Amino acid sequence: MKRTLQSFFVLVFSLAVWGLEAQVIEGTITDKAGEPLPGASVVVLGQSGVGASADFDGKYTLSGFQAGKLSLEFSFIGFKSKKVEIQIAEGAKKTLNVFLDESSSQLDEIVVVGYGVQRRREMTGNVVKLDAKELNDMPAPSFETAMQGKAAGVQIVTGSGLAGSPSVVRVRGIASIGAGGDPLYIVDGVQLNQDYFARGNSGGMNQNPLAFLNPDDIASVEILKDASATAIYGSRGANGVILITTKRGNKGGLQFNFSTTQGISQPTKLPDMLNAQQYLQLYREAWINDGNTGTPVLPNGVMSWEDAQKQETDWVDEVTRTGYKAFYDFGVSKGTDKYNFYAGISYDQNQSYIVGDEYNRFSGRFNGDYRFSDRLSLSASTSLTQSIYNRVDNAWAGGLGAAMSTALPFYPIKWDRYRISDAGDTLSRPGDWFTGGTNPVMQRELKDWRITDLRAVNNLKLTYSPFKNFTLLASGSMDYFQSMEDIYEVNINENDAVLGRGRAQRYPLRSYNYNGFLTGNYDWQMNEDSKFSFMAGTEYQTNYTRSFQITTYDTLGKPNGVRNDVLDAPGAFYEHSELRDNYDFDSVNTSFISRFLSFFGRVNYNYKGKYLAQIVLRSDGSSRFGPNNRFGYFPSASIGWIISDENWMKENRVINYLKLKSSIGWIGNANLTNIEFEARYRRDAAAYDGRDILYPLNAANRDLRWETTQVFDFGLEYGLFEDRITGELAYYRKNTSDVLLNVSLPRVTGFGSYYDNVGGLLNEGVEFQIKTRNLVGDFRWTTDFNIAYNYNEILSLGGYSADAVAGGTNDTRTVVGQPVGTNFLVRFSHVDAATGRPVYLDIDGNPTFSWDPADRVPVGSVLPDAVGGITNTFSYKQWDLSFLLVFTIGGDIYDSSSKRQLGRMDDWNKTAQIFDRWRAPGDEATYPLLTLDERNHGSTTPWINTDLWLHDGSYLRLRNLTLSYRLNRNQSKSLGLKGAQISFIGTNLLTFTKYPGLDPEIARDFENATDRNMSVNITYLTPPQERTYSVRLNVNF
Amino acid sequence: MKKSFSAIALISGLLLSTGCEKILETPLQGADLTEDEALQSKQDVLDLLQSCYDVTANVYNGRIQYLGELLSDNLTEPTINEDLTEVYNHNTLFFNGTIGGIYGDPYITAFRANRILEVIDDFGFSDAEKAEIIAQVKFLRAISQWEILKLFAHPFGFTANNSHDGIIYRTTTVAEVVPRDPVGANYSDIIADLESALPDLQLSSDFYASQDAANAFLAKIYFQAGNYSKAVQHADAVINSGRYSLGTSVDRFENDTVDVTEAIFSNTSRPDFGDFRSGGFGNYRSDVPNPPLFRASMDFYNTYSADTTDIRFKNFFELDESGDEPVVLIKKFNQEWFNVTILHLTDLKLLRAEALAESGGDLSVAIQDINDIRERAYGGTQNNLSASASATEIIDAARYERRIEMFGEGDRIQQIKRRGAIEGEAMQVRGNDWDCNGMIIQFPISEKTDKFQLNPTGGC
Repeated sequence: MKRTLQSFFVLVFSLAVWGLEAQVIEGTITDKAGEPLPGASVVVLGQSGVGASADFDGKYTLSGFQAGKLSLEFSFIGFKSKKVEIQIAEGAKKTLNVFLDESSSQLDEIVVVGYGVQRRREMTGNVVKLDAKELNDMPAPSFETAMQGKAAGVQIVTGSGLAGSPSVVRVRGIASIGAGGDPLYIVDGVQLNQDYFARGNSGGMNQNPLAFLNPDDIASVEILKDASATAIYGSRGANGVILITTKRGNKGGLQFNFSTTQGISQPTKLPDMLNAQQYLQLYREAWINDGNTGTPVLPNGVMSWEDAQKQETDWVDEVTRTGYKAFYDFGVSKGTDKYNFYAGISYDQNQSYIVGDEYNRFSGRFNGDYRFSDRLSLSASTSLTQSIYNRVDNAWAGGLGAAMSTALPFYPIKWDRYRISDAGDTLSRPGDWFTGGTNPVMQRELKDWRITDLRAVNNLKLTYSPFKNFTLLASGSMDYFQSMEDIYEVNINENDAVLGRGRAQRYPLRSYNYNGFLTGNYDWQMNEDSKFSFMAGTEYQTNYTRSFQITTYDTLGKPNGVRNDVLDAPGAFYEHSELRDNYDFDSVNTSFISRFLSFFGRVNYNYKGKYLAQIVLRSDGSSRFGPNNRFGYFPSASIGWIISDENWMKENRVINYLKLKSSIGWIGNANLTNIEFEARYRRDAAAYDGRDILYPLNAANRDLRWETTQVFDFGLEYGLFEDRITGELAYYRKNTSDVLLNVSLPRVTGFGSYYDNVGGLLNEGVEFQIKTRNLVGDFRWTTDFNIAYNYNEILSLGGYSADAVAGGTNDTRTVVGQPVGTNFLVRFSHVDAATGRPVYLDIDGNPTFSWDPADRVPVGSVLPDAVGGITNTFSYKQWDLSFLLVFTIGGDIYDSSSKRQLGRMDDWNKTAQIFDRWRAPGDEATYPLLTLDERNHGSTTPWINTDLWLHDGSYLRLRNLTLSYRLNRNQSKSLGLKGAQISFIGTNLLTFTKYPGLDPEIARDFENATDRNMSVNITYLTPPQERTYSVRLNVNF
Repeated sequence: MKKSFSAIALISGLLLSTGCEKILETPLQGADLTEDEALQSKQDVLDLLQSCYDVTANVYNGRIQYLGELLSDNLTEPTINEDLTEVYNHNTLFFNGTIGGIYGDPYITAFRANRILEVIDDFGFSDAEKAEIIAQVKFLRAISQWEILKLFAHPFGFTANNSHDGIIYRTTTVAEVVPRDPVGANYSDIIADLESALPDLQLSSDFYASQDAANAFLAKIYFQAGNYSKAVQHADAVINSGRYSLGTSVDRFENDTVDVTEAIFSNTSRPDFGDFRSGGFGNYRSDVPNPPLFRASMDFYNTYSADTTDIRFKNFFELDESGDEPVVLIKKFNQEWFNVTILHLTDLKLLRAEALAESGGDLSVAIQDINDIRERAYGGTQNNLSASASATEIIDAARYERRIEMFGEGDRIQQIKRRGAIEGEAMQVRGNDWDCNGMIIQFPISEKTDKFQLNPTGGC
């Protein structure tokens, strides 16, 4: 890396020397207020390939052009382009400072929409655009994390503290229950595969399918929210669409960019668990409370009371650390009239604070465009990412989760002495692992777990314009994903076949996603006032996943099964070629093949530049539905009116821009993971009494059909005081019908569950976004604030009970009249001062000592009332300071693990909050008497779910604080650079919340799509988020 | 220009709209088959029928038996299993994964059986073949749902007209929201299915539906309903056939190298295929390193411990006094695997004896039935009933023998309930009346609909 850098510095230096020998134009590109416009470009018209970009100070240097009379064009996103004529003699040097006028607010900004681009001013839809700067301002394992708090109506719940965990992204509430509720992600026109459950929730985590994207490769992200914007994606647009555009070469000479981030990771908060003495003291108290006498007998019988008192392990300390993060990105780009390209490579080493958890990503990208003629051009986008994820079990599976639960503080990691049984057998020797109970250190050290992923997203586009104003675009793409999960667990028991060797498991997966579309665009200027734009297209997509296993054979050489593991192996597959050579993963299992065939069209009408209308129709056919309902039709219509362009408004001194817009549309969702409409059977050979059996797998539903959301949107865009204040206000109402639910069927039907279109769902909300440039000049201060309120209600459930649709193992339910993810719990009233027993409320609200799930009622919801963020940016000369606060108002957190951490004394360690327990008659305590018997808590199970564990989930968090220093031109020049910036970044530095648990921002591991939709804000031993401190260096040369 | 655009759009549209339906028909992957692909031949239907036996074998692998046993006074509290402790405590909650799993299986059989009935005409079976298949599926759906009825609803006789809630008796594959049928209707449906199946079944079979098995079930069902004469009639049909004998061993749970001559209907384990169907009984085993989940109660132990000559007691139970408190270890099921005997001659003989005594029948037959059992249990005639034994003595003897003979088989609780409901005795288990709420098991929450009412909560 160092050598590479040196080479580039030499190259840049050479270029600079060469530049001094020829004619040069240099200067600064600023806005009207004199603020530099880094990234603004200047090109010499008529001289192909000559151009330059402004550096961080807005300074540019133009060279390599032919002397004479030149026509220069200065341009920048959001600003009006400006042409300047200049005469320059050979060898001369001229200074030309240029300021650009902002186009009417940000309205001339080009926004990527489905299958095309539109000028923001002419759009009738609701689209939020985030540019590269907003996505790169904090170290993020995956780009979506960096969007949090920056787009109104987009709720992002960052995954847990584990390096590879995914965020949950919700656009305008949650409109699905049983089908995937995540938005559709499209990278440069490629619809991504986004399977959160490719590896299930093994180890207490779902792996993030979006983490393969290098955030530094992204030029912009557009979030499509309303029907006008998303209807063009028809059946996949109901949960919003996120369009990701990666960087391409801008016009100008070779540009090099290098950035690196170095940082550390710590948990936002760690659990306060009891130490051994505290645990034993409370255990004894429970023992006595239960009427026992004598020396207490510890749970699981693994250790005597006396032995336990001699041991102390701080498990939390053993499984956490300060994680180190290092990110490197190098990009090169160039643009001419004929071609442009961007090429980049990056390496991200992402260690979390959990010992053993490290996600490393190496990625490369090449994007290029070539114009054969004015009529024909070719674009290619390709990216290749390899990630290696070194995993450890966490949450309910081990690690920090174990340290918070069943790793008791008196368990040792290893024995420090000989233990001899009464019969004289050696039970353990010094240095032997402790195996009598949960030992997360042993689990981690003896398990080598690594997931190696390879992902290539490739796209080729051919654009042909046979005649003026008409363009045909053909696009073909492939999104290929290959994943290799290797697990190796070494034998430690003498009973194991070969001590020191172990079980090697390998789970290969390959996923294929092909997509092709053809569109035709025609722009028609009917007359001076009326302008039409037509677009029609068709699209085809297919995807499937293959998994591989080793075929096994009986002694006669006949296949008799498949397996993924090898016993008595010397190590993991990835590090032992003999394993890879000897075992052939020749048995292929292909998942359900999903296919979509679509036809779509869009008509835009613009009258006098201020009256706008758009009609969209998409028809989607899907292999996920039976012949009865294979095709769905998804139309939308929208209108816009730029009021500020009316003559009577033009002179208004306050309002310089005002646009009203409204849309209505019907969007679909078909996010099913198998063919559920058809009865599927399976045959097992020699299954019972040596005979074959044939049996149905699912309850067929031939009438399964598209989930449909009717979306109404009303919006107002505004610009005040010459755009010192800009923003948008929107109201929406999303009414979902035929909701796809994986319904728990009564078992009398012969099946556990099936998919059905039942019930209705409402999301209604208001979004407000405002950006104010509070101070301009030398000291600049900008504030960007957004807040979105969303109301969610299940309108009907087709007669099914609240328990028919359960959010995985979590206690959230679907209740008519309540939001998706309702906490449906027995109410805890108080601790009886006389007896110390917990008092619950029965279904009628009467106090009772008995806990009975029949008494459950809706007591809360995991969905917040409102989410938002506020960014303040201060700039003074070369310094920038920005901080982002994100907030969530309302919504409940269910701390599912605390029912054991604060419940019955057993083989779970407790948190220190348990000291507030009842001890003697008359005590007013939060938690009931300590007992070893759950019946003293009125229950026959220790899993006593009540609203005692339900907490207000509101929080305000200092998500990001960045202080940056930008080298000025002279400083950069002295280093041979075009520009450089160094930033100090802190994330999750402060959190204000009433939530007594670890972290109020929770996306635990989920079991399936329903769980993911319903159980955000449920924590079950979920590792808290990380707090990071980083330094970022960015240089251009 | 406009014409060109329209032409291109039209041609593209026409080209693209042809054959779209075909593209969207994706084949099922892997081993999955559509129903049309799966059910093509007679053998396919027979394989579907075999899958009903497969599920039934799992129902009887010990699980359905131990649910009943836990409700009774035969066992102590399970050592670690919280789900099963709820059953023992007579207070099951509707969130109970173990119960949910056991409850669901018989209905899987019912669905498959009903599907066979719906499609059987399409495969060219002869009338005789068809009649036998129909008889088998009716037999299977009847016995499967009978096992559920016994555990999840109060017994026959709990209300005077048996109008109390029973189960949904499934005779169709159509999923519909319906209320529970009354217990009386459940009994009628089960009996009707078995009686209509009876003539078309093969005479006898070790592991498949047969006339002997149908008669044995009918005898048990009528006995449970207090219709003793019908119980005797069906028991006679099996006992008098001469196809079964008690043999000399008291052990019906040896592995299949031992011919259990009294077995009328069993499930089968096939070690040659790695297929074992006695897994649920593993929870009783006292010959494995882990402590057993189930141990016999002291109430049971004390009932029989005085009689030191009882081979059954001696062979199958052992007092372990090594711990803090003495426990009664069960050795009856200490086998790696065995064919689970579901219906056997011992059951029918004791049933007939008691039924004859209850209904004023031929007491000499009853006495002989008891004595047949006792001679095997004691290895001689020393404990035989006298030829002049009274009806009451016969009944007492039958009940005494039945409890120890059928220990672990889930029978005890049904006798307690029958005696409470039909005979009006004040039966209790661990202080709880036979008819209290917790003596029936709660349905899984999945069953609750607008029309299906769960059992009362709160236990006994």
